Amino acid sequence: MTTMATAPAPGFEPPGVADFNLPPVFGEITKPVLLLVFSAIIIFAAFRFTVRKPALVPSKSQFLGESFHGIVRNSIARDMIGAEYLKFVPFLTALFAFLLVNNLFGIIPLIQFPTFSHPGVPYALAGLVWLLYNYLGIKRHGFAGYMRISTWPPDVPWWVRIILTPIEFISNILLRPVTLSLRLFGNMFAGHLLLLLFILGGQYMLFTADSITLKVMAPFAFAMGIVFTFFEAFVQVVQAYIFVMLTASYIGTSLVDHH
Amino acid sequence: MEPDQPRGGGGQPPPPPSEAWTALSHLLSGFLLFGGIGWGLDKLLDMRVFTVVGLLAGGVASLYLIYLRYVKS
Repeated sequence: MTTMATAPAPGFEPPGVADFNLPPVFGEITKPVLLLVFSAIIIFAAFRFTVRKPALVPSKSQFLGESFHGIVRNSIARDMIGAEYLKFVPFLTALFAFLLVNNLFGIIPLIQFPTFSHPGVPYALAGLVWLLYNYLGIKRHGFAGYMRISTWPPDVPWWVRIILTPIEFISNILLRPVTLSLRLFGNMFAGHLLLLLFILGGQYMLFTADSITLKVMAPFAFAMGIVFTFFEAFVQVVQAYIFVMLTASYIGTSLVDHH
Repeated sequence: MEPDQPRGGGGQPPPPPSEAWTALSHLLSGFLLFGGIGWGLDKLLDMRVFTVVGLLAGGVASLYLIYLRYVKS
C-alpha cells in the first residue's frame, strides 16, 4: 500500500481487512470470542439487576429493564408475529440485547471493536434464525404446506409458477440468512473501518507526516472521527433493531394461517 | 386499543418495513437465477447474448412476483 507517490515521509498505510484479524489474546481465544462471552455476562447481569426486587411500582432499574422488554414486545413482536407473539418475546428480547451490546462495543472506549464485523459471528446468528423460522413453518404446516406458503404464488397459471417458484424459493429459503447476516456484517465492518481511517489518518497527519499543512489539518480528521462515532452509534442501534425486526417478520410469515 | 391485542392478527402479511427487504431479496434472486442460467448458456454455447437476456427476464419475473405478492393480494 505504499504506491501513493504524492505522500511525503513514509506513505500513509490505510487501514484494511488485516486490522480486523487481531492476534489471539491467549491460545485460540481472540478478542471477538472474549467480547461475545463478556456481552452475555453483561446482559445477564443487567437483566438480573433490573428484576432483583420486582415491585408493582417499579424502581428506576426495573423500569429500564421493563421498557426494553416492552419495546421488543410492543413494537417488534406484536406487530410482526401477530396472535402468538408472546412466546417469542423472550427470545427476541435476548437477541436484541445481544446484538445491541455487541454492536455498541464498536464505540465503547477501550473495547472499540464491533463483534459482528467478523463475518463468522453474524453467519452463526443468521443460521440460528434460519433454523428457527423454517422449523416453525414446517412444524405448523408440514413440509409441503410450508413450501406452498413460501414458494407458491397464488392465482397464476402453471407455466408462470415454473418461473416464479424458483425465484421465491431462492429468495425466501436460501437468500434470507445471507442478506440477514451480510447486512449486519457489512454495516459493522464498514463503520469500524471508517472510524479507523479517520483516527489513524489523523494520527499520521499529526505525528508522521512532515508537511505543516497536514499537521494543521489533523484536528479536523479527529473531529470527523468523533462525528462518525456518533453516526456509528446510530447505525449500530438501527442494525440491531432491523435484525430483530426481520427475525420476527420471518417467524410471523412462517406462522400465517394460509395464504 | 387494548395493549395486549395484536395489531395485525395472525393471518395478515407482515407490514411494510420487512416487505421492502423481501421485495429487494426477490429482485436479487430473479437476477441471480436467470442471469446465472443465461451466463451458463453463454459459457456452454460460446455466445454473449443470453446473460443479458437472462438478467432482463429475471428482473421482469421478480417484479411480477413482487406485484403478485404485495400489490395484487
